[in-house]
Amino acid sequence: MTIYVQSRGKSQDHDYRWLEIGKESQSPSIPPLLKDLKVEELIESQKPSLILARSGKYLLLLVTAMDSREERTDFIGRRVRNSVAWVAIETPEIEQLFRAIAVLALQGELAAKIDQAINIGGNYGFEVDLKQLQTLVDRSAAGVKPASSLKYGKNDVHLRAQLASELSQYSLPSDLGTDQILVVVTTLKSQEALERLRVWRGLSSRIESETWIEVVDSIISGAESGLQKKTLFLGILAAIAVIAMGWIVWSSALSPTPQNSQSDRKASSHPSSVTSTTLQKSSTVSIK
Amino acid sequence: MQELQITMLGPSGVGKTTLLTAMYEQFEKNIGFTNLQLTPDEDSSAILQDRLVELKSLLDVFEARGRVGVQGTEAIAGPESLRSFKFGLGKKGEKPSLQLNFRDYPGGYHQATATPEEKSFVKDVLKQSVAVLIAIDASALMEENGKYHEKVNRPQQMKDLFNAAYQDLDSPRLIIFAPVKCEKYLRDEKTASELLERVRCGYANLVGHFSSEKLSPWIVSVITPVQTVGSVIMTRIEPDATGAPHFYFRKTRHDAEYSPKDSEQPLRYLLRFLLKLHLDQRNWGFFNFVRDWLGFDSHLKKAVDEFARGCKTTNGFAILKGDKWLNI
Repeated sequence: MTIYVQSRGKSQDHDYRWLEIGKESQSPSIPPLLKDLKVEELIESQKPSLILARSGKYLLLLVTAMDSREERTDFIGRRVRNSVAWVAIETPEIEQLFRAIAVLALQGELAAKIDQAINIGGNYGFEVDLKQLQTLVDRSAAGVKPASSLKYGKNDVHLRAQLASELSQYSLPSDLGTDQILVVVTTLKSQEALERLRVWRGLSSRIESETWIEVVDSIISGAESGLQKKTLFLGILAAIAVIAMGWIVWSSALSPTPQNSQSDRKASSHPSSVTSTTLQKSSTVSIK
Repeated sequence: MQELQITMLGPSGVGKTTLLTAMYEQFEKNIGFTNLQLTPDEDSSAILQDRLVELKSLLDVFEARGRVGVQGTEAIAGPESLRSFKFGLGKKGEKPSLQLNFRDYPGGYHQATATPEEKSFVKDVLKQSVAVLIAIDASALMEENGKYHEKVNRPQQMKDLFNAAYQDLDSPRLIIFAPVKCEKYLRDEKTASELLERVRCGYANLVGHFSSEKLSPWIVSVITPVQTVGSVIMTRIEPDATGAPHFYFRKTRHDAEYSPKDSEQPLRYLLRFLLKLHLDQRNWGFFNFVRDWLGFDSHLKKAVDEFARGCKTTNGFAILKGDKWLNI
């Protein structure tokens, strides 16, 4: 797992920048996934925002614009913001960990923990205690399979709490594809924009609804309806096969007379006469 | 739709974003008197509205230490992720016929610690911009005989940026010196004249550079002070332990509200400049579209003309150079 922190120092020279936080060193580096996923089109990163996304085999959790403690201001007294990006190859443990951190962020409990790990100083005006960042979460648990329908609502305390609750119980959906924005909390996007991107859970300051709006994902529902059609087709074929088999068994159970056998052979060479022959045969049987 | 790029230039903390926010607030108010319409796109509107709320909240306290501007700008995924603040300009009730893209960026991009990619970004946007707004912290320029000007506004750095970007220019460019946080100095004619003089002196190297043989034919430069809050004045300076100055601002009255002044003036100058280029009817490569933009619609041309004639030239405002590009 790689952790990146964006913050700034006090002086005019120490403007906002990303540092990759390694065990031995902390060097400037922008998380490549942020460029790949074009996160700037989803969030106004200078406002508190969150993105949980899957990109190939990687999982990204980005939490932006977290408040720092009061004394951390820049050279003209503006409060410094902290943002953190976690990037890792997706495993069940990573999935659980990222969900647990996202829950902390949504509950408003992450900012203080992150800020405690950031100290003023170093080459770039701030330094990060990696150990503190690695111990943000006490425990994380496997989630149960979530509903794949997409849900959107207003970015307010109430729905953020509901989203936190959902993320603590349910795992991230695995049927939305390998490159997918899963969770977005933003100040910027409309519901239509989130729908277009098939975001699984989206909260935005530009959505009015204070309750979840559930949207059926056309691709998933399309795939499901395709599966249903296939199943129905196979069912019909099976039914036809069973009827045909039944008829064969039933007709062979009769013991045909040599004449009948002869007429049967004749009839079989005339498909159009099959029904009438059968009817005749039936009447013969009933007469018996 | 044709697009024009305008860059907000200045070191970290001088007030680039605050200036852009104040301009956004005043665009609608002032342009509304004409037959013109300036419409931000959805994302620009949402972001600038948030910043406006932040700017207005600064007046919740009577005295602010240092901070009379909005949060510092960041680029979440590097220079390419910096957004343009897009405004569609056109006649009222019609689809915009020109898009103005305002570019803002972290001031740290032209400091020693900036990456090559960040430095290159600033150079490129400068090259591609029809107009550049140089935000100037007026308090640093004016107080204690300009003692903090070099440290805060970094005029030599600004000159070096233009030096690198403006090579082999072949079309005219508008440079707007915009002193911000300047409410205190525009209260009377005397201090307003002093502000003008300080800008000329404080940026003498840059102004001189614009007068060089190669650049002189292409540069139009003006001074347009913008009162980005309108109801605060600088009261005192306290240097911190490192010698960095902290400017204190207080409200002019307890019930004073956010009321920026003259923040539409840069736009008036920009439109005046474009109108002149249109009237000139010469082939400018970079601006060829301007001939057609206004040529097909006399009502639009009249509205632009009406708005452009509102450019101020006295009491702190002045055309420094290239007035031939502004004579309409």
